[in-house]
Order: sequence, then structure tokens, then C-alpha cells
Amino acid sequence: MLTQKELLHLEDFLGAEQNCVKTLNYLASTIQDNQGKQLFQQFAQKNQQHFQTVSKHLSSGQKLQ
Amino acid sequence: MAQQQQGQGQQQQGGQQNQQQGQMTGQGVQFSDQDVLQLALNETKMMASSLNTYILEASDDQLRRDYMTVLGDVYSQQKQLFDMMQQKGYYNVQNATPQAINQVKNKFSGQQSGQSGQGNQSSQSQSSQQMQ
Repeated sequence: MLTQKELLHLEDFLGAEQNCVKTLNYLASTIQDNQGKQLFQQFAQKNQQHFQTVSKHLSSGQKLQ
Repeated sequence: MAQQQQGQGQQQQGGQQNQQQGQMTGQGVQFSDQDVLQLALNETKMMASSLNTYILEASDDQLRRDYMTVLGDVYSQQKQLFDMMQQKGYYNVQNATPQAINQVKNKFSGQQSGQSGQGNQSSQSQSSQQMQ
């Protein structure tokens, strides 16, 4: 079961991560350097994974209640 | 941090003076590759800082572990960005001067001799010299 604080942090983290993926994709389209573009795309993908991994805790927290 | 701002200042000096007004008001802002990388670097630092709090305040073990895994990835991303910026000359760090190092060394040398014997102390200062 999630604590109150954990839920608040989860909300903050997932929001930040979502925003981060969006930002990284935008930065990837903005940057001229190809190496940087690749790096940003790779980071965006990784951060999307982070979002999915951590968001699982929302549903597992619900089940336990 | 100060060094980093200096580096940016040098870049802007070479750039357009008339864009300065626009940059202040947010109008006609153009992001250079350096700006973009700096934005991403700041983002990773903010994320790492938040994650540190989440880890320290998580009571669920699995959640804590997941955050720690994420933080490890964020550290790696931050390092890659920093390395890239340094390689492109966007992020110059200034080495500490030997004098400054000596100053700190002297500050703590009393403590070392208080805790350990004389033999130990001389080997300590030797290893510090090697590091310089």
C-alpha cells in the first residue's frame, strides 16, 4: 500500500517524467548536432521506460487496498 | 557554475548584440546547441535532486529500488551530457590551484596528526603530493 507521501511523489515524478520525455523530443528536433540528436532520442526512450516502470506502482498500490 | 556562466558569456560576445533585447523579453529567442545541451543538463540535475528525495522518503521497498534504478540512469544521462558539452568546449571547468589545495590540506593536517602517529602523517602528505 502506498503512503500519502509516496502518492504525492509518484504524481510529481510521473508528471515530471512525462514533461521530460516531451522536452527531450523537442530538444532532439531543435539541436543541430547529430550526436546530440541521437542522445536526446535515446534519453526520451529511456525516460518513457522510467515512466512505465514507476507508474506500475499506482495500480499495485490500488490492488493492495 | 561561475565558470560555466563565463563560458556562455564568451559565446554571446561573439554573437549578435541586437538580439540581447529580445533575449531579455523572450522574443525572437534562438537556442544554440550549447543552450539546448545546457537545458537538458539542468533538467537531469533537477530530476536527480527530486529522485533523491523520493528515495529517502519511500517506505515501499520495490518503489525505492525502482527510483534508485531510475536515478542511476539519470546519473548516466547527466554524465553523457556533461562529457559531450566538455568535448565541444561548452563547459570548461577550472582546476584548483596547488596553493588552494595546500590551504585545505593545512586546514585538516592538525586533525590527522591528532588521530594518528607521526609515521602515518608523513605518508599522508606524500600521497597528497602525488595527487597534485
